[in-house]
Amino acid sequence: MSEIHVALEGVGKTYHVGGGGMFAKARPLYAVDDVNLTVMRGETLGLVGESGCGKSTLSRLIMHLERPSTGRIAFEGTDLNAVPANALHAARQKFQMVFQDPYASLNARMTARRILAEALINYRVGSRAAIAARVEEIAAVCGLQPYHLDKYPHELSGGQCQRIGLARAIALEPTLIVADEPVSALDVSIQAQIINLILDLQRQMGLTLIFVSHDLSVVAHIADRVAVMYLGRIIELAPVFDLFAGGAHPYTQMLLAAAPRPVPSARRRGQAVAAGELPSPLDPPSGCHFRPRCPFARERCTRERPALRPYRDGHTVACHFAEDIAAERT
Amino acid sequence: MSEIAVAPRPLLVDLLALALRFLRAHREVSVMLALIALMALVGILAPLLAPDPAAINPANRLKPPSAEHWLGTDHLGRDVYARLVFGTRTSMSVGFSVAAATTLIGVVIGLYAGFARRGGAIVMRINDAMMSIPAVLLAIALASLMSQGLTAVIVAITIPEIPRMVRVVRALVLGVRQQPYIAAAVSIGTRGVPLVMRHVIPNTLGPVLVQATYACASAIIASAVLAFLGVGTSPDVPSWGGMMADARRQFRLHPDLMLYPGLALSALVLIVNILGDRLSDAMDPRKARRGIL
Amino acid sequence: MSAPPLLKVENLSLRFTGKTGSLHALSDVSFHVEKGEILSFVGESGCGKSVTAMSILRLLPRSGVSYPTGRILFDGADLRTASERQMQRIRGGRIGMIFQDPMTSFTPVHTVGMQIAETVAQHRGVSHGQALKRARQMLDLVRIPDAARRLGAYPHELSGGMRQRVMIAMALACDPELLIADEPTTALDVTVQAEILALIDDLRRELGMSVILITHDLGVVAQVADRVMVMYAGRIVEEGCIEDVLARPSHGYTAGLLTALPLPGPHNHRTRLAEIPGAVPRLDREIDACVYAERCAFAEARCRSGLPSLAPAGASHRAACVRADAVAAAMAGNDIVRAWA
Repeated sequence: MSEIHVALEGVGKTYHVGGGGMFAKARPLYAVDDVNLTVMRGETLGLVGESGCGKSTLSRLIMHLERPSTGRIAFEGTDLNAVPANALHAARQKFQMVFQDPYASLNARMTARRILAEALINYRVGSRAAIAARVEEIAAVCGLQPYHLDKYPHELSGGQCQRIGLARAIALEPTLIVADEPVSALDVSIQAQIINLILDLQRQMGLTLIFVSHDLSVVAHIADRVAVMYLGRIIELAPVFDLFAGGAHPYTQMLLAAAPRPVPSARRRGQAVAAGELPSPLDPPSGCHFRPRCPFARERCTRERPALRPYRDGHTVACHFAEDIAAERT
Repeated sequence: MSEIAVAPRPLLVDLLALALRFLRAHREVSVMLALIALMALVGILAPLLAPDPAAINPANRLKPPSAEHWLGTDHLGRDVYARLVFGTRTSMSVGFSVAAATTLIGVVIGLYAGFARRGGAIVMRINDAMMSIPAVLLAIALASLMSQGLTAVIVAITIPEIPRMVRVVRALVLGVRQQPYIAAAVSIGTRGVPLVMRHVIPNTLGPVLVQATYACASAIIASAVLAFLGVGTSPDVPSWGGMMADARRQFRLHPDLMLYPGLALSALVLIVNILGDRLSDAMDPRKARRGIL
Repeated sequence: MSAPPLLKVENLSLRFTGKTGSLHALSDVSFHVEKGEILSFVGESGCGKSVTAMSILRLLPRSGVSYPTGRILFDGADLRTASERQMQRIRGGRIGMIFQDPMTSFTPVHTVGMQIAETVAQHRGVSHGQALKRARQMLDLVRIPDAARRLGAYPHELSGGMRQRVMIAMALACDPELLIADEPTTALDVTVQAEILALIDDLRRELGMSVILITHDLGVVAQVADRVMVMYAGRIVEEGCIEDVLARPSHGYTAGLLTALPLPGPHNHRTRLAEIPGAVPRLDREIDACVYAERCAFAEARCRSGLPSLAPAGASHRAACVRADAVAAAMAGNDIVRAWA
């Protein structure tokens, strides 16, 4: 647990939107903004936040599907954006991704067998016979029957497709899996199956897991540490029980209060829990991005961007007044 | 369960299996394809089905239908039925050659435009410029620049058709590139040509085929227009457009000479268009069952 | 509760018939909605919860759909035999509806103000000016800031949460007695979801309307529903007051749903969740046994031999399970159940 697996230093990703036309000027969109994060070998990091907060972009950056605009990402100590293409290609075996949409993440024109074999063929792991045997083996590990392998994705259920997605991700025996909302599109009973499978695979293979989700109860269940993102920035990073005991950042507190839970205390009839709209990411507020929605905002929040700073043991927060707010709440 | 199943099958085998499944599921498409095959057969077997279309017999001009000349004769005494049957060859070979050439060239350019950032923008501007010229006009201009012959006609019609295909392919490629299965393929180390052949092309195939049928239909009409205007093909080669041009002078007394090639042309274009329509319905993921083509 | 219920559905069965056979989408569904209450349908995809709502509104295509049995009594009149004209007056008039994706309910080419006003003008027969005034009031009602300006906005110019509010405004513009909300917050972020749910809850209080809330999320149900109806494979398996159902779940499927949920707390962290084995049964034939028996952890031989009927399992609580007592006893230790007991 003590070895750093992935380290992000000042990572940012800026898109330019609205350009392309002859007359419109492109405006910068800071999808990910100065993110510093280290992920330890074998740990499960939960990444939560609402749509547009940058959690998907961050996972694509970690997967090296995109290049960061600023900063560097060190995977097992190497900045793979600074090495030749072939070195990146070789390194890709080590980190794999699981996607949200079980159907859209599989090529509808390929059978499950070909989907699973593709990774092994790309890296020429063994003879054809060896690859064929390995495909059946990983399929079995992921709870698929041999007859599932000759089916096309549309002939399978969502849960089965997600099992194929997981099998594809572990085919190359990676050390890191980035799971981007892997159970959001599934029914509750299937969700449990896939979460169990992810937990099992992680234990068997000693995987590091980055688990991205908007569903707080799932993240609370699976993650060791949780990072909360808001408009491209990590605003709180804490061990799971510290965070779910009531976060230090007002946004985390709002998220936790808003999450629907099947317990009587969650019945808040008639009272609004959350305030305000998410500001446009094209025109974020100055200083602290959460300021316009924050009940504790003061003048300093307008002026100064709060840095992610130590709050307690292993718990960091990007809020100027976290201590004051905590005192006020008790 | 054998190793053959695991090895990446060639694209062609895959496509054939896919096509068979598809035809079984969509009857109207199969019927239209059968009709087109029938017309193609007529064109191929023309020498067996009809007498010499070029035989001139001035004594036998403008005769009504008879046992010898099923649809009568034209102003040079040539057999109208024979010219109609042989004309199928011209129309179909132009239509299908243009469709094939447009698809091939259009897909290549479209893929480039969809993947290259800067180069793509340049290609699209050239594309836009070409699309601002009416296709038939451009074809006429091109055909009159070239020597006479079927190849020249095909080239002249293909060039104005390409930009449309490029536009369709590029839009599709841009859409497919955003799909999670592409990100998944990149993650497992698929890159370059295999990425395009395995993941991009198969998933753009449906709309491209539909566009190809539209190209085919418009090429058949364009070839008739060229022949009607006497550009490109020599008057000796029997073609429906040429027949209509010849019939113009006798239109008052012998409107049937105009009617036969006109009907044949309309029928073929209609069949190809219906095929395109049904194909696009069948391939629309919102209408068809998920996943089949 | 002596007043007759606003909506009473009796023994509704629905069959889809296609080329390849028929599908028993609903079997013997009976329930009622009281005035002013929120009734929630829960269940997984394909359980029949949306189809039930579509049947009430008669929004299903005519071909291929048949109702072997059943009546849908809305304020005493059977909607199944109502004329299409009557239905047009009821839809969007006396019964409002909102869907998961607001974009599908709007025309992209008109402003939202126009669209609300048009609904009002159509159902109320008022002038355009009055209808626009009503639209403005409605946007205020659903707490859209700066309503006057938003009237001129096109649907794509609004955020997801804002669009959902406008759709609610449109659904409520004609003072419906019943609001049918099909997964109204599924596509929204949790903070926006909380706002929309609170809004629906507030509005039904202010306007005294009834709500049918369709969702797959037990958390949403627990938050706002008065009563809950758990559906599985086209049947109601358990139904009752939210407090009763969650304090004493009495059907194997409800138990399965509850135990499959990840729960907070260190003793639950990273433990294996209870899976529901197998898959939903094919509905291509009549099942004359418990539909859930094949997947149920509590199933016995008698579960597979006869169809259990909805029997009382508490004061205002019914379950179609012969093992109801065993399920309730086994679930007594569950964290969620303990919280409600």
